[in-house]
Amino acid sequence: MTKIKILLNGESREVPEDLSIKELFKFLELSEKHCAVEINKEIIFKTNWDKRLLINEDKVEIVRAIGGG
Amino acid sequence: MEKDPLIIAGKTYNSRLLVGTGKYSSEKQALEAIKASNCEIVTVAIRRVELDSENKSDSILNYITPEKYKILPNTAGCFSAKEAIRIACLGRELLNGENLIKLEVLKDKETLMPLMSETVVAAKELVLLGFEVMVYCTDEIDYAINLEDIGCVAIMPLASPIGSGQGIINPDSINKIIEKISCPVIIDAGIGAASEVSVAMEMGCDGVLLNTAIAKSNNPVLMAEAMRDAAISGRKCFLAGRIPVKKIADPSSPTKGIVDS
Repeated sequence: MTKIKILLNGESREVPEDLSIKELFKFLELSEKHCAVEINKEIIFKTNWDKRLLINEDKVEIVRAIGGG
Repeated sequence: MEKDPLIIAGKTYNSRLLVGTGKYSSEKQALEAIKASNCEIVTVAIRRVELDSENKSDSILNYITPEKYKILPNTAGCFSAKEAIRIACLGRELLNGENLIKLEVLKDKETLMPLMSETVVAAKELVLLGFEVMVYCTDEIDYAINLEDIGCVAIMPLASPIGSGQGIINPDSINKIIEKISCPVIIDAGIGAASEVSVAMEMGCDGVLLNTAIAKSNNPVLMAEAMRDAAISGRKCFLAGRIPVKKIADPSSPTKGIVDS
């Protein structure tokens, strides 16, 4: 399987080629609930998570809410 | 007492105490304290998911749920308008399009004081993007007026530096803001004790937002109750109208009919 390199939450990672964001969550064993995703500083709306495929050198941010004041 | 709701961006809240969710020793403690505070609006921060953590799929929103509480994401940790706008947009996305945001742009990590020039820039842009901006700001009246003119839905001056527990250090400045601003004025940051919540409410603030004072007390649930009661008590005092301060004594008992010695 061909792999690509992305920057995920600030760290370099190898992931399979042609992975959608939805599939990335599965790959990471991460729940999609209450998360937001940005690629190359552009928010990817949840409705597009199955459409947007990761490409080499994408800068991906996955964020969630945590305790704060 | 007749109903006296706090109205922010057209939505009605019965509690005038807004509570942060940070600094608790456990999720359980946070939830119990938040319940005890009777608050309806809670703040959260937006951060990267820790992908190497065992609990990476856990979310505060699984137990402090958007169904039960109005979740107010903040832009804490941002030092420029650009960063704050980015975080606000991510917050809106993860809350399924909810527009309410607590905007804070800080000057530096040491003082955590608001950087007002960038706060104003961010507020303008966020209002244009359809956000309902509750803005953390200094107690300077000119900025408060400017932020209300821009379209912010709540002006939230600090009582004193974040987490300092110093209480309201510039009551005259806060009074000026209360006098001039039409949208809700909510004291945000610096509260240490229940009496300070009460003072803020007695002065005529529309609400108080606090976090550390509850979370870092020895008994967060009990402190949350104290803060809840203080907000109610202070508001009642404000509505009832306190007596003017006099320089001399004024006897409470009649001076007529005193039994002679």
